[in-house]
Amino acid sequence: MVIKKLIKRVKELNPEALIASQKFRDIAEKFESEIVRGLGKLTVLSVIRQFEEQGAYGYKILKVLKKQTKDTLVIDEGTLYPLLRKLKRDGLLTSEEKVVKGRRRNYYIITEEGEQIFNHMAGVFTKMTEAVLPLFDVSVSLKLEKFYYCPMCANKIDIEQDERFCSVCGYNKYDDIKNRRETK
Amino acid sequence: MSSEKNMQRLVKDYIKQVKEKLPEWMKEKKEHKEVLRELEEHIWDKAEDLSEAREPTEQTVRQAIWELGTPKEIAREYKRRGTPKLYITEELWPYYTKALMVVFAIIFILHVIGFVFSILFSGIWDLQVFNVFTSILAGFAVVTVIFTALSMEGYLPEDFKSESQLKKEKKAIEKAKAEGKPIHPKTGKPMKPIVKPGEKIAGAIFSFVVAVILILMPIPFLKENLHPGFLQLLQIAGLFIIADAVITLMRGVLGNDNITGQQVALVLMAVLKFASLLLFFLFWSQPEIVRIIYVNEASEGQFIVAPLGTEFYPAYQNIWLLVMVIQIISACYDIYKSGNISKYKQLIK
Repeated sequence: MVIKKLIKRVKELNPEALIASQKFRDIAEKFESEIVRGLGKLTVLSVIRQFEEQGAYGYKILKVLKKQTKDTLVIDEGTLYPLLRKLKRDGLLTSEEKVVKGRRRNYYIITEEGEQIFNHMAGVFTKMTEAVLPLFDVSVSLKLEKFYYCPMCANKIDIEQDERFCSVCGYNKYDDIKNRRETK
Repeated sequence: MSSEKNMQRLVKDYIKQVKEKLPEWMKEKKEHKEVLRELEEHIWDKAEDLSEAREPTEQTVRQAIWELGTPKEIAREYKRRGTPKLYITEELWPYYTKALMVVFAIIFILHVIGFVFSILFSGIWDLQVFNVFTSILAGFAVVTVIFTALSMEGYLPEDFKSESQLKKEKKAIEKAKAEGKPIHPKTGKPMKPIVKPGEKIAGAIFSFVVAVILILMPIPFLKENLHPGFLQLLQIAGLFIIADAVITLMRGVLGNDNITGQQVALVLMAVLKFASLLLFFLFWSQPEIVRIIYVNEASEGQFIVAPLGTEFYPAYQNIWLLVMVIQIISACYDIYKSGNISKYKQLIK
């Protein structure tokens, strides 16, 4: 996590800096860990689904996550495996034992149900981010030409998908998507 | 000792410490073996990475272990399973309340038994030395401490079930879903049927038989020896049992699809139970019409019929008071249940 790195370096930087105070550290660390905890499930699923049926093992997931978030979102190594286990127990992931280069590893694969839940979580998170970021003078633009966000439940749906109803809430999205395609 | 061996020992020691700290539910399920193997692989992967793709060194292994966290920290994450609700997790909460009810019921029954014994054979077994409130408080404390500890260790209800039991439950859920039966919105399990029709019908038939016996009194010995007033009360009791049997039969025939019918039947049952209090009062108020039948050595096998001794009047009346209290509780429960089953209406498709 960013704050932990900063705390380690604070003596090198400025011992009088705000981050040197215990109160500030407590608040900042708690805030950061809350965000990471909330994002953990979503980001881990996001990495695993990139590997499709091949799946990914724990250490690989961490490495990819670290790289793709430019070292910003780093999940504590000790928390990753309980999280994977929980996702597996909830039916969002399955695992397969494979021996690769003499190493016996558990490869995690996203299930169909996991994919659906991920889309919903990603949609909610995206819409929330879009709404919240202007408060911090940041704006984001959603890739609306590629994705459709259900107006009822925020589910993230590929615009090319042909199903008439949102798989999460059953909203009839047919007309919305038809209009979107026509205005393209 | 070679460096290779040192590294192996470092990893093995660490894994051993993690194993010791892992929660018991995980060890019982043997799930810990996979967890430990995964952690070990992680350490080697990380150490290899820290060595920049060369063979891991003792230093990189130490670094990898340090970054993974202390065994206590690792175990703490596995214990963080349930959804927090006060000190007891939401998953264990229904079992906690159920356990409290069972413990309270046991305490109550023990006190009732103690009470009955003390009034019948005063001084022989006086359970009242244990104050009922103290017992309830102690029971509450013990159950709460147990469930708090289980929550802190990350236990979930399924940890107390065998794999075959879990598979059976899963099948039952799938079957209920396929048949369109109501599923509990919180637990995700099929809801228990309101009535078991077969049991209700069988119960009603049995009640009819008992009621006919009480009304017609086909046993000449009892007809001749019991007090006429007592026989009359037994006949009234028979009529109440017939009414009870009719309602029970109605519930069995209506089954689980007619929720409104079940609600009406439960309210009727409650009304009947309240009405029966009058009959119990008549029993309570006339101890002089009670006859006791017994055999002793002097009677040489012949039954002796005698009125109840006046010294037993308070005991007799206390028993009826207790029956009346139970009847009131039972009637109130029927009314509560008739309101509570309305949730089935929304869940039945």
